[in-house]
Amino acid sequence: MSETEKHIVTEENAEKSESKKLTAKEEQLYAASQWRLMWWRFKRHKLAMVSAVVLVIFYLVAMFCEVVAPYEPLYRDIDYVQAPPQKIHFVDETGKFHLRPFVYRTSQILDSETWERKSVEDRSQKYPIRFFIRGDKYKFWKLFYSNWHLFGVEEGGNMHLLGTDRLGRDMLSRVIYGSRISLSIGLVGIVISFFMGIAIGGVAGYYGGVIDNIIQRMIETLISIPGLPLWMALGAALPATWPPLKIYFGMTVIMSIIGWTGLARVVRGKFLSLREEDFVVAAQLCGTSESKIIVRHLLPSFMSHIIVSLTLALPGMILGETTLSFIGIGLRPPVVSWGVLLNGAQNVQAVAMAPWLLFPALFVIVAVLAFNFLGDGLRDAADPYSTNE
Amino acid sequence: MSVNAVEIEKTENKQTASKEVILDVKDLKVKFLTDEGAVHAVNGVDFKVESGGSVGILGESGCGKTMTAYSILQILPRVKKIVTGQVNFKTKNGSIQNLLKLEADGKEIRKIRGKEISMIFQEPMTAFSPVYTICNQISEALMIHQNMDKIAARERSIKLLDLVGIPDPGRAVDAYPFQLSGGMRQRAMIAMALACHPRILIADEPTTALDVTIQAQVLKLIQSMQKEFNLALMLITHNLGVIAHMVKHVYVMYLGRIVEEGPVEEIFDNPSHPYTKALFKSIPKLGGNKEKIHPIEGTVPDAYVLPKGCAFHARCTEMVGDICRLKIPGRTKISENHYVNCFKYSNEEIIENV
Amino acid sequence: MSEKHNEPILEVQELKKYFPVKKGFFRSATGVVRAVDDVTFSIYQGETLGLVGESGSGKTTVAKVIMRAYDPTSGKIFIKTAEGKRVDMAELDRRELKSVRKNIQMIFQDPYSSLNPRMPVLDLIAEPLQAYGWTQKKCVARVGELLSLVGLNPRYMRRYPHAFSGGQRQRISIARALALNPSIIVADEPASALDVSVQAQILNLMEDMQEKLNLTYLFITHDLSVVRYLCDRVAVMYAGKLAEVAKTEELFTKPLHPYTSALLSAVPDADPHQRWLEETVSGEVIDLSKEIRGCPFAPRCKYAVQRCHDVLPLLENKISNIENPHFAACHRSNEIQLKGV
Repeated sequence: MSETEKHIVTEENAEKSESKKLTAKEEQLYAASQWRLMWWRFKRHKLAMVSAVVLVIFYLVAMFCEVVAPYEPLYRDIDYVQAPPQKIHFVDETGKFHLRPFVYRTSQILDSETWERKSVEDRSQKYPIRFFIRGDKYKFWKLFYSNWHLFGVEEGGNMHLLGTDRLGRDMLSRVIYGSRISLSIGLVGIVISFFMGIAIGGVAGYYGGVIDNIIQRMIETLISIPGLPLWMALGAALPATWPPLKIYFGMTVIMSIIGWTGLARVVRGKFLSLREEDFVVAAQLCGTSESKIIVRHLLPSFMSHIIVSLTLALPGMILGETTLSFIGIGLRPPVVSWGVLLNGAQNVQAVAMAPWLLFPALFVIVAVLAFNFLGDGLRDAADPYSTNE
Repeated sequence: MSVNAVEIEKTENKQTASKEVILDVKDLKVKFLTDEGAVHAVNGVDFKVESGGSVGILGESGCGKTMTAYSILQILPRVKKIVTGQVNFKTKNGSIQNLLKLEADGKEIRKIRGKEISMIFQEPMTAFSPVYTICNQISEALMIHQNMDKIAARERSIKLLDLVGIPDPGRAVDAYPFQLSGGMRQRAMIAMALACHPRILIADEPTTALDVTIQAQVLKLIQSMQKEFNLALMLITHNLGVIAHMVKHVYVMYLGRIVEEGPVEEIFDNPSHPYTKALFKSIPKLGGNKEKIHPIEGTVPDAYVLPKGCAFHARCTEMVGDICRLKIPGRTKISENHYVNCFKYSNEEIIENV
Repeated sequence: MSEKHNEPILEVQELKKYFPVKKGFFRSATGVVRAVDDVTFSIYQGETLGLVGESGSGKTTVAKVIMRAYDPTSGKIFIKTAEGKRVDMAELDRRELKSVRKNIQMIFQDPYSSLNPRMPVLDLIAEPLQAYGWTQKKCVARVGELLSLVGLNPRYMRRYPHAFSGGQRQRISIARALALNPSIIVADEPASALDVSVQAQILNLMEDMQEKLNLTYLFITHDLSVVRYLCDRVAVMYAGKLAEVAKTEELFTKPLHPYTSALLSAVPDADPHQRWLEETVSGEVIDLSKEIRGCPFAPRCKYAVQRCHDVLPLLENKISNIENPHFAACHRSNEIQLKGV
């Protein structure tokens, strides 16, 4: 073969020039897109994986809250007002083990000596917890009526696994219904932030110069306004006469007003640094149009960072809604959200007498932590090329 | 320390100069344990450095030369690793220590670093801390190893900067690293390395990032420092030209092993190992006749899976037989001080059809 | 070695590129860095012109300005298009530039940052084709062709850059540069970031491509031995100006500019028997933001006389041969004896 032809490779002589045979795994690795690589790195983060599962469960519950919750949020159990959580038993009074958990009929009595309210289990009446039981009627996603519930007890029994509030409403059901509002407000918020952040940050990073300067100063002004007072002011500005749905959307807009700034800065920073990369210059020199460069080269390069930013901004929004509703400025009853539920636990007396009213806070904490761990895991996996070269 | 003391030390070093071996590395092996598998960075390396001598480690990227240097001073990356072998070093007071036995973070090794063995790196920007002045960084070594106070250390730093040829050392000493150019930073790094008169200077690709004319200045500086302080030099590089003119003895490394060693003239006039020969043929020459260059076939194998037998056999055009695939070649003498690890030259029986 | 045609395929005239130095809150320009200062040279069809210099010499900037990645401050860049017309690239707007760019492409220095790690090889090499409206089917065929041409298995087009070594990535870069069948390739230190033995692969490949496809190279590098190996003519730059331009062998054996001579003697040759570093050039490159009177090399030049500090030497043909001129920007070229290799 002449010197020139040695460089021509065909299928036949190609294999010989490879110094080793590739395993299937390596072949996969070589053909892996950036998302695949991210996924593989993400899988190694146990905590993030667990958080992801937890969040999936939370959102499924939120989506199907009518089915999952044993009771309607406004249903009042007059026999069991402001009562502690019922215990679940597996072993009955005779010592027999039941595979299916059950609750005893519980009622509230006034202790004649201590004047304390006590809940008493009536050991004679057992109510096994059944799955896929028919119960109260509800309108699923405002589309059709059904009365299937994921779990519950049969007619006549009561099952309040997280207790009831001062109107006798089942806390567990209300928390489940509340999740729909609390978790989705964040989502709508970040969608708005996403578009605003990319648009504004992109413009700042792409054009640079004076435009960048102006936008930067604007962002800095916005984020230096104290968050809570700003929210309070905006929340109070929403007319109380608005229907709950309108207020809901008003809230999401308020959340995203400050939420987009973080993302805009990330996008701007990335744009500025990516513009100098050789491969962007190479694309320009090939004749690729500017818009194509943005879409094909710049966007995919920082998409992963955007996802991380958004994931870490979500808990902020959840906490924001919870806080505002807790102090009474955000959502109000009859809308059910975790913040609204916590509103009922505002005074010390109520909390001292009925500590189970604070359960919604536990869910908020778990959701926020889960998002943070997930965001951490994503951030670590976000740049699959960072350890290479 | 006054100038007189400096001169006295210089002459003292000169008096004790002889061909004694001060660094003796035996069968050094470094294996990193990563999630993807074990990385065999160094696979049995032996070499010696004599007092006042100059030794070159020649190899391309991935051959393990940097890790070899790092393991001498115990500055290997802090990941799970297995390091075996001996790094026997003779200190100034005559005692011999195996540096590998010392704790990586311990007091003992810190007494060696900077004082007995110093190192300079490829990227002077990353070797200096950007938040301290040059004076601060050089004085640090002086204050630790020679118990100087701040003022004396500063004086000495200025003298050192002058010694390495930095103009206006009185001002440069208070500068931050980013204020100096690449060549100046490299000189400052040399000053820092030599502040406490070490016996060995390890230079890891010291001029690769520099311009040609600056490279010439820095290398000449290293040569003059060697002469003045009777400093032994261990130079690590892939640049054949630099090796040819800076060292007396060359070790050629490939994939964590030494494949050939010898006096520099021997290696260049009479390269014996197929890798060495191929390397020389693949580089265009500046002077002399213009010859066609021939790349080495194939690519460097992954360090995760070492090939069985000779490390180079997969790319070797001069294999003698199956033995190259199966056994690791031992050292064979070619001539005085010139050894090669290759079955082509060994007297071992060549076993066919194993 | 090729024949020179009368008209050069690329001609740079009085090219200048000054970068403003911005200070202060409002980023007002307080001065300029003269990265490229009045550079004139020509390249002829089929030849390889080496552009040599150290950091700060302006060689990379010249390449980027020629490619219009930067806009020149002033000067002309005449290029012969594929249709044979002579146009000044410096004057063209974006649309016109696009059609001219088909004929001149670039290879970058860093094989790791010049390929978008998030795109498979097929998309990377096909990008220039797609910019000019090729269909997907045609792109796939052409990419396969190009991969074979540069010595890679066409099957690899499904893979992503992280699957390849530095040398292989550089081949992909070369394949991308060849996609539109340009006549001129501007190569910015294509082998500098690679291992020593891999450099040979790339250099040989470039030589083959030149022969096969009748390419013209503007080869930018700091490595003089590579220049000697690959280039027909050499242009030496210093501080944004051309110091010397001549045929390779002539420049190496009989340099006429003290800087060239200093550069040649500073390179350690791979031969321990040769003498090296009998004298070194002292000092460093001057600050490019300061206005220089006279020769920029004068402060470091051991042959400098007063005239060198006062009057800027022009790049002139110092020998009588007009066919193969030897340009040098030095007042004293004919008086001093300079050493070559």
